[in-house]
Amino acid sequence: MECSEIRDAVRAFSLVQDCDTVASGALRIATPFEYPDGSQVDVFLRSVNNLFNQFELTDMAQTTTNLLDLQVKVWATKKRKQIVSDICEALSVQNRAGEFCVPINHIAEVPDGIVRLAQACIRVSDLMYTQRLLTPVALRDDVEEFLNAAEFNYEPSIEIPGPYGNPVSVDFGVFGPIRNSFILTIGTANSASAHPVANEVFKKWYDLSKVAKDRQFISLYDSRNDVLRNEDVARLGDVSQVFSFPEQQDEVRRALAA
Amino acid sequence: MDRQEFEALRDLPGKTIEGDIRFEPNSSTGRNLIFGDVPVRNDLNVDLVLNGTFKPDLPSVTYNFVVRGLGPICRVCVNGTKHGAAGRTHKHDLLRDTCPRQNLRGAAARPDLEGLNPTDVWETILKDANITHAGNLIVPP
Repeated sequence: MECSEIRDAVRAFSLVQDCDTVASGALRIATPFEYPDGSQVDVFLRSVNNLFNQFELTDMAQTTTNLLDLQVKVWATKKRKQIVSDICEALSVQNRAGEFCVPINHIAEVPDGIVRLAQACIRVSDLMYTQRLLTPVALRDDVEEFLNAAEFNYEPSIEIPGPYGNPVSVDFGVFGPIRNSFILTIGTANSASAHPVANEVFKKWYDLSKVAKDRQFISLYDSRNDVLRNEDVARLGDVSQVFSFPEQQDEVRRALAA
Repeated sequence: MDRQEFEALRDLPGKTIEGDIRFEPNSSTGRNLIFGDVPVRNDLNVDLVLNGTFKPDLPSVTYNFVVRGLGPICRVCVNGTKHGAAGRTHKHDLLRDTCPRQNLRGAAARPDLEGLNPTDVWETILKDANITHAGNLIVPP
Protein backbone atom coordinates (compact mmCIF):
# COMPACT_ATOMS: atom_id res chain seq x y z
CA MET A 1 0.00 0.00 0.00
CA GLU A 2 1.40 3.42 -0.91
CA CYS A 3 1.26 6.50 1.27
CA SER A 4 -1.06 8.23 -1.17
CA GLU A 5 -3.67 5.54 -0.55
CA ILE A 6 -3.90 6.34 3.15
CA ARG A 7 -3.56 10.08 2.87
CA ASP A 8 -7.28 10.72 3.35
CA ALA A 9 -7.32 8.55 6.47
CA VAL A 10 -4.29 10.37 7.89
CA ARG A 11 -5.78 13.80 7.14
CA ALA A 12 -8.75 12.94 9.33
CA PHE A 13 -6.64 12.78 12.50
CA SER A 14 -6.98 15.90 14.65
CA LEU A 15 -3.19 16.23 15.07
CA VAL A 16 -2.79 16.66 11.32
CA GLN A 17 -3.05 20.34 10.40
CA ASP A 18 -2.01 19.82 6.82
CA CYS A 19 -0.86 16.90 4.70
CA ASP A 20 0.82 16.85 1.32
CA THR A 21 2.99 14.46 -0.67
CA VAL A 22 6.67 15.27 -1.14
CA ALA A 23 9.02 14.32 -3.95
CA SER A 24 10.04 11.00 -2.39
CA GLY A 25 6.38 9.88 -2.15
CA ALA A 26 6.20 10.28 1.62
CA LEU A 27 3.31 12.14 3.24
CA ARG A 28 4.40 15.37 4.91
CA ILE A 29 2.25 16.02 7.96
CA ALA A 30 2.26 19.48 9.50
CA THR A 31 1.55 19.03 13.22
CA PRO A 32 0.36 21.66 15.73
CA PHE A 33 3.63 21.25 17.64
CA GLU A 34 6.32 23.90 17.26
CA TYR A 35 10.08 24.00 17.40
CA PRO A 36 11.52 26.65 19.76
CA ASP A 37 11.84 29.07 16.85
CA GLY A 38 8.10 28.93 16.15
CA SER A 39 8.17 26.75 13.03
CA GLN A 40 5.80 23.79 12.93
CA VAL A 41 7.15 20.31 13.44
CA ASP A 42 6.68 18.25 10.28
CA VAL A 43 6.59 14.48 10.49
CA PHE A 44 6.68 12.28 7.42
CA LEU A 45 4.88 9.00 6.87
CA ARG A 46 6.65 6.74 4.43
CA SER A 47 6.30 3.16 3.35
CA VAL A 48 9.10 0.79 4.39
CA ASN A 49 7.53 -2.42 3.14
CA ASN A 50 4.70 -2.29 0.59
CA LEU A 51 4.11 -6.03 0.77
CA PHE A 52 3.35 -6.05 4.48
CA ASN A 53 1.88 -2.53 4.69
CA GLN A 54 4.60 -1.37 7.03
CA PHE A 55 5.23 2.33 7.42
CA GLU A 56 7.28 4.60 9.59
CA LEU A 57 6.95 8.13 10.84
CA THR A 58 10.16 10.15 10.57
CA ASP A 59 11.30 13.74 10.89
CA MET A 60 13.67 13.17 7.93
CA ALA A 61 16.48 14.66 10.04
CA GLN A 62 14.81 18.11 10.03
CA THR A 63 15.42 18.46 13.77
CA THR A 64 19.13 17.78 13.42
CA THR A 65 19.54 20.11 10.44
CA ASN A 66 17.50 22.87 12.12
CA LEU A 67 20.01 22.84 14.96
CA LEU A 68 22.83 23.38 12.46
CA ASP A 69 21.38 26.86 11.88
CA LEU A 70 22.42 27.59 15.46
CA GLN A 71 25.78 25.88 14.91
CA VAL A 72 24.75 23.08 17.23
CA LYS A 73 25.94 19.75 15.85
CA VAL A 74 24.02 17.06 17.68
CA TRP A 75 26.64 14.44 16.91
CA ALA A 76 29.72 16.44 17.83
CA THR A 77 30.06 15.85 21.57
CA LYS A 78 29.56 12.80 23.78
CA LYS A 79 27.30 14.80 26.06
CA ARG A 80 24.91 15.78 23.26
CA LYS A 81 24.86 12.25 21.87
CA GLN A 82 23.98 10.92 25.31
CA ILE A 83 21.19 13.48 25.76
CA VAL A 84 19.68 12.55 22.39
CA SER A 85 19.97 8.85 23.17
CA ASP A 86 18.23 9.35 26.53
CA ILE A 87 15.40 11.34 24.92
CA CYS A 88 14.83 8.72 22.22
CA GLU A 89 14.88 5.86 24.70
CA ALA A 90 12.34 7.56 26.97
CA LEU A 91 9.93 8.08 24.05
CA SER A 92 10.60 4.79 22.24
CA VAL A 93 11.82 6.69 19.20
CA GLN A 94 14.61 5.35 17.00
CA ASN A 95 17.59 7.49 15.98
CA ARG A 96 18.96 6.44 12.61
CA ALA A 97 21.79 8.58 11.25
CA GLY A 98 20.22 11.73 12.64
CA GLU A 99 16.66 10.84 11.60
CA PHE A 100 14.14 10.21 14.37
CA CYS A 101 11.72 7.42 13.48
CA VAL A 102 8.74 5.53 14.85
CA PRO A 103 7.63 2.29 13.15
CA ILE A 104 3.92 2.11 12.24
CA ASN A 105 2.28 -1.28 11.73
CA HIS A 106 -1.32 -0.09 11.64
CA ILE A 107 -2.86 3.24 10.73
CA ALA A 108 -4.44 3.45 14.21
CA GLU A 109 -0.88 3.85 15.59
CA VAL A 110 -0.30 7.07 13.66
CA PRO A 111 -1.65 9.60 16.23
CA ASP A 112 0.37 8.14 19.09
CA GLY A 113 3.42 7.97 16.82
CA ILE A 114 3.01 11.62 15.86
CA VAL A 115 2.87 12.69 19.51
CA ARG A 116 5.93 10.65 20.52
CA LEU A 117 7.97 11.69 17.49
CA ALA A 118 7.05 15.37 17.81
CA GLN A 119 7.94 15.30 21.50
CA ALA A 120 11.34 13.84 20.64
CA CYS A 121 11.89 16.53 17.99
CA ILE A 122 11.02 19.32 20.41
CA ARG A 123 13.10 17.95 23.25
CA VAL A 124 16.13 17.40 21.03
CA SER A 125 15.75 20.89 19.56
CA ASP A 126 16.05 22.27 23.10
CA LEU A 127 19.76 21.59 22.58
CA MET A 128 19.63 25.02 20.95
CA TYR A 129 20.08 26.35 24.47
CA THR A 130 23.60 24.89 24.39
CA GLN A 131 24.44 26.98 21.34
CA ARG A 132 27.92 28.42 21.25
CA LEU A 133 27.86 31.96 22.46
CA LEU A 134 31.11 33.57 23.55
CA THR A 135 31.57 31.60 26.78
CA PRO A 136 34.33 29.40 28.23
CA VAL A 137 32.07 26.39 27.67
CA ALA A 138 31.81 27.42 24.00
CA LEU A 139 35.59 27.01 23.47
CA ARG A 140 35.54 23.61 25.20
CA ASP A 141 32.69 22.55 22.92
CA ASP A 142 34.61 23.83 19.88
CA VAL A 143 37.68 21.85 20.92
CA GLU A 144 35.62 18.71 21.50
CA GLU A 145 34.07 19.06 18.05
CA PHE A 146 37.57 19.40 16.61
CA LEU A 147 38.82 16.29 18.45
CA ASN A 148 35.78 14.35 17.30
CA ALA A 149 36.09 15.47 13.68
CA ALA A 150 39.81 14.66 13.63
CA GLU A 151 38.96 11.21 15.09
CA PHE A 152 41.24 11.53 18.10
CA ASN A 153 40.70 9.09 20.93
CA TYR A 154 39.85 11.37 23.84
CA GLU A 155 38.08 11.63 27.18
CA PRO A 156 36.51 14.88 28.44
CA SER A 157 36.80 16.18 32.03
CA ILE A 158 39.49 13.98 33.53
CA GLU A 159 40.66 14.23 37.15
CA ILE A 160 44.22 13.28 38.08
CA PRO A 161 45.47 12.86 41.67
CA GLY A 162 47.70 15.88 42.33
CA PRO A 163 51.00 15.96 44.23
CA TYR A 164 49.56 17.97 47.14
CA GLY A 165 46.49 15.89 47.97
CA ASN A 166 43.97 17.71 45.70
CA PRO A 167 42.79 16.29 42.37
CA VAL A 168 43.68 18.25 39.23
CA SER A 169 41.05 18.41 36.52
CA VAL A 170 41.79 18.88 32.82
CA ASP A 171 39.36 19.56 29.99
CA PHE A 172 40.49 16.67 27.81
CA GLY A 173 42.84 13.70 27.85
CA VAL A 174 43.87 12.71 24.33
CA PHE A 175 45.42 9.33 23.60
CA GLY A 176 47.87 9.77 20.74
CA PRO A 177 49.73 7.14 18.72
CA ILE A 178 53.01 7.87 20.55
CA ARG A 179 52.23 10.26 23.39
CA ASN A 180 49.20 11.04 25.43
CA SER A 181 48.23 14.66 26.05
CA PHE A 182 46.22 16.77 28.45
CA ILE A 183 44.39 19.85 27.20
CA LEU A 184 43.25 22.89 29.18
CA THR A 185 41.23 25.66 27.51
CA ILE A 186 41.07 29.36 28.31
CA GLY A 187 37.81 30.42 26.71
CA THR A 188 36.78 33.50 28.60
CA ALA A 189 35.78 36.58 26.57
CA ASN A 190 36.10 38.74 29.69
CA SER A 191 39.45 40.52 29.99
CA ALA A 192 39.04 40.88 33.77
CA SER A 193 38.84 37.14 34.28
CA ALA A 194 41.40 36.09 31.67
CA HIS A 195 44.43 36.64 33.94
CA PRO A 196 43.07 34.64 36.92
CA VAL A 197 42.00 31.85 34.55
CA ALA A 198 45.49 31.77 32.99
CA ASN A 199 47.00 31.62 36.47
CA GLU A 200 44.78 28.69 37.36
CA VAL A 201 45.86 26.86 34.21
CA PHE A 202 49.53 27.54 35.05
CA LYS A 203 48.96 26.12 38.56
CA LYS A 204 47.43 22.95 37.11
CA TRP A 205 50.30 22.36 34.71
CA TYR A 206 52.80 22.99 37.53
CA ASP A 207 51.08 20.37 39.70
CA LEU A 208 50.74 17.87 36.86
CA SER A 209 54.41 18.27 35.89
CA LYS A 210 55.21 16.41 39.14
CA VAL A 211 52.88 13.44 38.60
CA ALA A 212 52.38 13.13 34.84
CA LYS A 213 55.82 13.68 33.38
CA ASP A 214 55.13 11.45 30.37
CA ARG A 215 52.17 13.54 29.18
CA GLN A 216 52.17 16.41 26.78
CA PHE A 217 50.51 19.55 28.18
CA ILE A 218 48.57 21.74 25.73
CA SER A 219 47.00 25.11 26.55
CA LEU A 220 44.40 26.46 24.11
CA TYR A 221 43.13 30.05 24.19
CA ASP A 222 40.32 31.45 22.04
CA SER A 223 41.69 33.16 18.93
CA ARG A 224 38.44 35.12 18.59
CA ASN A 225 38.99 37.04 21.86
CA ASP A 226 42.00 39.25 22.40
CA VAL A 227 41.86 39.22 26.22
CA LEU A 228 44.95 37.26 27.30
CA ARG A 229 47.98 39.26 28.39
CA ASN A 230 51.24 38.57 26.56
CA GLU A 231 52.98 37.71 29.83
CA ASP A 232 50.29 35.12 30.62
CA VAL A 233 50.84 33.46 27.25
CA ALA A 234 54.61 33.52 27.81
CA ARG A 235 54.29 32.11 31.35
CA LEU A 236 52.06 29.29 30.12
CA GLY A 237 54.66 28.61 27.43
CA ASP A 238 57.14 27.66 30.17
CA VAL A 239 54.97 24.78 31.31
CA SER A 240 52.95 23.78 28.24
CA GLN A 241 52.57 24.15 24.50
CA VAL A 242 50.31 27.14 23.88
CA PHE A 243 48.11 27.51 20.82
CA SER A 244 45.49 29.96 19.66
CA PHE A 245 42.33 27.99 18.75
CA PRO A 246 40.83 27.63 16.18
CA GLU A 247 43.43 29.75 14.38
CA GLN A 248 46.23 27.23 15.01
CA GLN A 249 44.16 24.07 14.81
CA ASP A 250 46.56 22.53 12.27
CA GLU A 251 49.43 22.90 14.74
CA VAL A 252 47.25 21.44 17.49
CA ARG A 253 46.44 18.47 15.29
CA ARG A 254 50.12 17.86 14.62
CA ALA A 255 51.02 18.14 18.30
CA LEU A 256 48.32 15.67 19.34
CA ALA A 257 49.28 13.24 16.59
CA ALA A 258 52.96 13.23 17.56
CA MET B 1 23.60 43.15 17.07
CA ASP B 2 20.55 45.35 16.62
CA ARG B 3 18.43 45.93 13.51
CA GLN B 4 20.46 48.94 12.43
CA GLU B 5 23.73 47.03 12.62
CA PHE B 6 22.17 44.11 10.74
CA GLU B 7 20.97 46.40 7.94
CA ALA B 8 24.40 48.02 7.73
CA LEU B 9 25.97 44.59 7.30
CA ARG B 10 23.30 43.40 4.88
CA ASP B 11 23.64 46.51 2.69
CA LEU B 12 27.44 46.73 2.91
CA PRO B 13 28.91 46.43 -0.58
CA GLY B 14 31.95 44.32 -1.32
CA LYS B 15 31.07 41.22 0.71
CA THR B 16 32.71 38.15 -0.81
CA ILE B 17 32.79 34.38 -0.58
CA GLU B 18 35.86 32.65 -1.96
CA GLY B 19 35.87 29.14 -3.42
CA ASP B 20 33.26 26.53 -4.20
CA ILE B 21 30.39 25.67 -1.90
CA ARG B 22 29.42 22.00 -1.94
CA PHE B 23 26.35 20.35 -0.49
CA GLU B 24 27.69 17.08 0.89
CA PRO B 25 26.22 14.07 2.68
CA ASN B 26 26.78 13.70 6.42
CA SER B 27 26.38 10.51 8.42
CA SER B 28 24.27 12.37 11.00
CA THR B 29 21.77 14.24 8.81
CA GLY B 30 19.89 11.38 7.14
CA ARG B 31 19.66 11.87 3.36
CA ASN B 32 20.05 15.64 3.69
CA LEU B 33 23.13 17.35 2.25
CA ILE B 34 24.87 20.14 4.13
CA PHE B 35 27.71 22.62 4.07
CA GLY B 36 28.90 24.84 6.88
CA ASP B 37 31.26 27.54 8.18
CA VAL B 38 31.78 29.24 4.81
CA PRO B 39 33.35 32.64 5.60
CA VAL B 40 31.66 35.75 4.22
CA ARG B 41 34.38 38.40 4.11
CA ASN B 42 33.28 41.95 4.80
CA ASP B 43 34.85 45.33 5.49
CA LEU B 44 33.22 45.54 8.92
CA ASN B 45 35.31 42.49 9.96
CA VAL B 46 32.25 40.77 11.36
CA ASP B 47 32.89 37.02 11.87
CA LEU B 48 30.09 36.06 9.45
CA VAL B 49 29.72 32.51 8.13
CA LEU B 50 27.19 30.67 6.01
CA ASN B 51 25.71 27.19 6.35
CA GLY B 52 23.17 25.44 4.17
CA THR B 53 20.99 22.34 3.95
CA PHE B 54 19.48 20.68 0.90
CA LYS B 55 16.78 18.03 1.47
CA PRO B 56 16.39 16.19 -1.83
CA ASP B 57 13.43 14.06 -0.70
CA LEU B 58 11.14 17.12 -0.36
CA PRO B 59 12.90 19.04 -2.02
CA SER B 60 13.84 21.94 0.26
CA VAL B 61 16.84 24.24 0.66
CA THR B 62 17.97 26.55 3.46
CA TYR B 63 20.75 29.16 3.47
CA ASN B 64 21.61 30.51 6.90
CA PHE B 65 23.97 33.38 7.84
CA VAL B 66 25.51 33.26 11.31
CA VAL B 67 27.65 35.69 13.26
CA ARG B 68 29.88 33.38 15.27
CA GLY B 69 29.42 33.75 19.00
CA LEU B 70 26.10 35.57 18.43
CA GLY B 71 23.86 33.27 16.36
CA PRO B 72 21.94 33.32 13.09
CA ILE B 73 21.06 36.75 11.67
CA CYS B 74 19.39 35.86 8.36
CA ARG B 75 17.97 32.68 6.86
CA VAL B 76 16.17 31.82 3.64
CA CYS B 77 14.03 28.66 3.62
CA VAL B 78 12.41 27.27 0.48
CA ASN B 79 9.75 24.58 0.99
CA GLY B 80 10.90 24.19 4.60
CA THR B 81 8.96 23.87 7.83
CA LYS B 82 5.84 26.07 8.03
CA HIS B 83 6.35 29.31 9.86
CA GLY B 84 2.94 30.67 10.72
CA ALA B 85 1.47 32.93 8.08
CA ALA B 86 4.83 33.06 6.27
CA GLY B 87 4.28 29.51 5.06
CA ARG B 88 7.00 27.11 3.92
CA THR B 89 9.00 29.51 1.75
CA HIS B 90 10.12 32.50 3.72
CA LYS B 91 12.99 34.64 4.96
CA HIS B 92 13.99 35.18 8.57
CA ASP B 93 15.72 38.42 9.49
CA LEU B 94 17.17 39.84 12.68
CA LEU B 95 14.61 42.32 14.01
CA ARG B 96 15.97 42.88 17.54
CA ASP B 97 19.01 41.83 19.51
CA THR B 98 17.34 38.77 21.05
CA CYS B 99 16.56 37.22 17.65
CA PRO B 100 19.83 35.29 17.10
CA ARG B 101 19.54 33.49 20.43
CA GLN B 102 15.95 32.48 19.55
CA ASN B 103 16.91 31.24 16.09
CA LEU B 104 15.13 34.14 14.34
CA ARG B 105 11.50 33.61 15.34
CA GLY B 106 10.14 36.17 12.88
CA ALA B 107 9.74 35.35 9.17
CA ALA B 108 8.20 36.95 6.09
CA ALA B 109 6.81 35.01 3.13
CA ARG B 110 8.89 34.93 -0.05
CA PRO B 111 6.59 33.60 -2.78
CA ASP B 112 9.12 34.75 -5.40
CA LEU B 113 11.41 31.91 -4.28
CA GLU B 114 8.83 29.13 -4.45
CA GLY B 115 9.74 26.34 -6.83
CA LEU B 116 13.25 27.64 -7.49
CA ASN B 117 16.18 25.22 -7.43
CA PRO B 118 19.03 25.70 -4.90
CA THR B 119 21.24 27.47 -7.43
CA ASP B 120 18.58 30.00 -8.43
CA VAL B 121 17.78 30.68 -4.77
CA TRP B 122 21.48 31.23 -4.14
CA GLU B 123 21.79 33.68 -7.03
CA THR B 124 18.84 35.66 -5.65
CA ILE B 125 20.39 35.81 -2.18
CA LEU B 126 23.73 37.01 -3.58
CA LYS B 127 21.97 39.85 -5.39
CA ASP B 128 19.76 40.83 -2.43
CA ALA B 129 22.65 40.75 0.07
CA ASN B 130 25.39 42.39 -2.02
CA ILE B 131 27.62 39.33 -1.96
CA THR B 132 30.02 38.24 -4.69
CA HIS B 133 30.69 34.52 -4.81
CA ALA B 134 34.03 33.78 -6.46
CA GLY B 135 33.34 30.10 -6.99
CA ASN B 136 30.54 27.66 -7.79
CA LEU B 137 27.65 26.27 -5.80
CA ILE B 138 27.78 22.50 -6.26
CA VAL B 139 24.56 20.57 -5.73
CA PRO B 140 24.73 16.81 -6.42
CA PRO B 141 22.15 15.69 -9.00
